[in-house]
Amino acid sequence: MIKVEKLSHSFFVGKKNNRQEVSVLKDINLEVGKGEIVSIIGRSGSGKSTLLNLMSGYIKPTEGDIFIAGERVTDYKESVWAEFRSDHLGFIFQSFQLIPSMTAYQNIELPLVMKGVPEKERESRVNAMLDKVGLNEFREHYPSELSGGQQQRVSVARALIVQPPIILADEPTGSLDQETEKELLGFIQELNKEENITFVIITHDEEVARMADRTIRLEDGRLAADREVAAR
Amino acid sequence: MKWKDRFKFIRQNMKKNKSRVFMTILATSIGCAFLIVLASVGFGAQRFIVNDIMQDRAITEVSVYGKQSMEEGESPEITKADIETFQSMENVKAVSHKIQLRTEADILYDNYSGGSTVSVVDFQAEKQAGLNLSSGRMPQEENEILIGYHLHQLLYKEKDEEAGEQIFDQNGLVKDEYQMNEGLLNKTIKIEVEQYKNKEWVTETFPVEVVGIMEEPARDWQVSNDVFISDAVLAEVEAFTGTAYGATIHPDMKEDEVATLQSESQERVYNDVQVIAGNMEQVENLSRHLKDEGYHIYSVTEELDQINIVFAVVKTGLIIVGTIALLIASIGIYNTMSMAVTERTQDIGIMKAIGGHPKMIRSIFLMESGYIGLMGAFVGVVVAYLVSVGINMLLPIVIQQVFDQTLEEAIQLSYIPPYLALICVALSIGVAMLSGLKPAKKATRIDVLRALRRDV
Repeated sequence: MIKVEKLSHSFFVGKKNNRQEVSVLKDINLEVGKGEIVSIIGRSGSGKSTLLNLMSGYIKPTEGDIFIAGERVTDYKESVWAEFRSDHLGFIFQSFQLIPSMTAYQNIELPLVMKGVPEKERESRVNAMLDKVGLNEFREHYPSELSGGQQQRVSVARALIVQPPIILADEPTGSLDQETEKELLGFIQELNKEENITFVIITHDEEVARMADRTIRLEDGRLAADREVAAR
Repeated sequence: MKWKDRFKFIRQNMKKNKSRVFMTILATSIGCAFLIVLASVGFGAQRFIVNDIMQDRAITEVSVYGKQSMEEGESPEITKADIETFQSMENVKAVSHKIQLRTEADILYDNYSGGSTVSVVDFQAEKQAGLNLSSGRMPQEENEILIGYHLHQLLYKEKDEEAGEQIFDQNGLVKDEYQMNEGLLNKTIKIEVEQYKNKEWVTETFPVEVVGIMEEPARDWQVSNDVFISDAVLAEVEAFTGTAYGATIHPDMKEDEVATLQSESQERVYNDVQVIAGNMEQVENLSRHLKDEGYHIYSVTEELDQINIVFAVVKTGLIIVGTIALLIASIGIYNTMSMAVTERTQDIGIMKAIGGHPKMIRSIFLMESGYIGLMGAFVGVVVAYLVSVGINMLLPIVIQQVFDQTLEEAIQLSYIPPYLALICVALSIGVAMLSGLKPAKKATRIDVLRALRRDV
């Protein structure tokens, strides 16, 4: 489903005369199969978020190639990326990234609105999604009126509403308490089982890593380990 | 994203900062209203002047004054053959042609008398040319005539004048108390003509019947004392005077001059010829055709063309000045949109992160600025119409108070043609969208990661 080949990324710091190249990712090769849950772990600064951002198309790699759903996305322009994202990818962020002036309903509906889905169809899909994430009674609440767990569920619902085959999650449990974290991980497993959605999850939480099918460890921008998790 | 959803989205965003949006719309509407009102003064002045010209002459009328003599011996005056040429021309609806009596004719009725301008006309041609009557009918018999609207107000009793009374008012009409009590319609009046014959002055009267009275002239100050007679009456007058067109012979005239008057013109020449085109569009072609044929002509469209060119320049100037106000308002729109983009950076980042197309984001901001322009233009047009009505209502009062003059005719200083309002609406929306262009581009260039980190 996702294939990364010889991927390297570096960026520059400092001004003209004092410019330095900082290498973040070095020669990464990995593959994520359909329906897999893959966790990427590593210390802070190991390059795991950069790897996810490259897979999301938010930044372009310095070297190497990325293939998603059989398409080489490495050189995609921003506008092509936009369409590709809305068709193939769902995103879950650590800080939820909900639009504060929109209600839970509107936030979940937003990807469908942007895709131009007719209003009636949107309504039925969002209602079904609200039921699925258990937030129907909070549909008219604004993000500031929801708990962290509820906000993350809205975020998950927004990611799922376009029925993407892949979900990229950046520290999805980072802002949650233990109980809510458990709940969310259970939900991810359920979605993976029922709808065969592929998950790539960046985390430094052992609990999340244990739940995954595979765990990839990054150290200093290099792939240090790629092993299957024994049992879930 | 569907258009309906875009509008919904825009309205939602605008509600977030109502006062700022309101002030921007207000600035735009003031700019738009200023532009319209300023231009409307140009339009109003043009309309007033054009109407003023049009009141005097029909727009489809081409006056012919004479022709260039092509060959030796050819008369520069308009003859019957010329009239027939005009009538046979394309686009000609009618040819009005008159011959004025070359003598001072008095009109007599009962004890009343007064001067008038007597002309021979072709009644049929006059009717086709648009001659209207206020009462009566067109003449059918040879001794039937038409008279001007004011003629009966110009007749007075000689004994009143001889008594040294001031019998005329400031308009040159006979004062009410000296006027005859009845009109002249269906009355037999006499045309009195004088001629110097056999070394003495001889007078002769020609009885004619008034069957129609012409309509009142367009201008209040115009006095119509015309008398339109037929060819037959002219022939009678000529038989008496022994000269063409009833020309008066004076005692001090030399013999050869008298001989000229007596022998002149076996062929009639016309001195007030108007060729009437079917419609305004045909006047230009007709004028060109007549000029090509060597006739000296004048048409009101030529004058109007020049006036319209002058006013086109004036109006363009006024619109340019007015547009400056709109450009100032556009700075406000630019500011509002820039702030909106800055405030919504995180939202834009989120939208882009989950699949928002840059084009869609740009269009939302462009539409938002266009919407401000549209609202401003709408309010501006309403305000401009109100101001225009106010100006037109107040102008006569101001002129009366400041200059102590009363306007006889209603002057419309400000006139807003619908297309002016439409142009200004389009201009407002255009300027607003141009102002929103840069902020909209900025919105599409927002870096997703920086926006998500709230690092912008």
